Amino acid sequence: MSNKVITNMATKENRYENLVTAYSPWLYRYAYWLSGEKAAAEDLVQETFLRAWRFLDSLKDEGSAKSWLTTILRRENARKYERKQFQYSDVDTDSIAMEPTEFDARPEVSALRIALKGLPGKYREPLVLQVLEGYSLDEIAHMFELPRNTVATRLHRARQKLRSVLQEDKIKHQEFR
Amino acid sequence: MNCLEFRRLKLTEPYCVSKEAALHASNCPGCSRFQQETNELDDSLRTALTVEVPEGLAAKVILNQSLKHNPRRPTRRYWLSLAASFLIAITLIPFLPTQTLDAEIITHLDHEAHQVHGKSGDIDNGEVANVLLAAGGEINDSLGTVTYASKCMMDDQLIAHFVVKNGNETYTLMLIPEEIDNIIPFQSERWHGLIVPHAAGSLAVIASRQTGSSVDFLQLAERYSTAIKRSSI
Repeated sequence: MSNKVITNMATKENRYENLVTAYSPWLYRYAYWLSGEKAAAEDLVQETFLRAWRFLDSLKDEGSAKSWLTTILRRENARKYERKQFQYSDVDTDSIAMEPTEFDARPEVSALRIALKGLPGKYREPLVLQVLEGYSLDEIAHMFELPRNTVATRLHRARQKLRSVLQEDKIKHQEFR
Repeated sequence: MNCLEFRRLKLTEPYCVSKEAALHASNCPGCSRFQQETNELDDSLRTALTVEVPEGLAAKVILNQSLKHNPRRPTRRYWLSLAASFLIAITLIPFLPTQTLDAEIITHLDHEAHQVHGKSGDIDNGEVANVLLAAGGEINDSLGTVTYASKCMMDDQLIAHFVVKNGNETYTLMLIPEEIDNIIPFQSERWHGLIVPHAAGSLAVIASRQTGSSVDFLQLAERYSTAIKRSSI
């Protein structure tokens, strides 16, 4: 192997490790809310980075790495969902129950998690991108290849649904007191 | 800005700060309260969405990649076990049912043929793109009239399966993830066709034997290889 090839490989490995360190937490959280399961989320992150390694040379601008990785993860998830449909055609992934989690367990946060779980994926996905990572409407529309207004409507409906769930939850708590 | 516009903005882009919105909130107690509630909702949402990341995830990803792409230097034991496996394999191969890619395609076509004939009508570009995406492809140029589009499983691989019209003739196209090194011509009682390497996979063009033997599969493969590109990720 020539010195140039070895140097290029070392550069590629450094670049890759930097990407993994910087973006794996975000990708895991996003994958968790896409799949609803810890193990599936971890698998998705692994598969995303394996694909990213194969196509790393096509990433010209490091500044767009997060969007690039997020798009890979969305496609991996879609492929996985397609395969799953063939294997377990009667399973509706939206109805897969969330695993118990050991993080913040305040009642209003738990109610929100349940409400988030109940949101259709098309509402939950843009909301996760906007709230967790501060993606703008235009960025989400570009990533989803959807018109800006469609994404705006989805975000609007998602928040409306969550607000009404929280309000109902508050009323229930007041009635029990 | 009126109350409806303000509230729509807050539910769509709560972090958007515009002079108009700020002015409206300062003059409208109802919307000011609504803004506060929306901000609180988003704070709680951020907490709810922030799940714990498994410890050592980044290290596991890096290790997984290095194992897949830099396999360990083979040991003596590895070579011995490989030799043993090879001996067993050559002893058993004549008795094992094996299927090459062309045989898998023929089996798949024989199995699905009734579905192909059952479909009619033109498939729109959106559906074609959707099917291609599942198999890692994208439309680069028109495939012409597509009368059948399906995501299929073939030997545990997700493939894109199309029936297209070219003039008066009908052909089957398959975008397959399996990589091949050389062009593979094939034929069975009912089908004949060609599999060509296509980026990180392969592309098969197939015709019914009733179409006759004068099909220029190479030309068709070239046309459809250009019309379909592999997605860059």
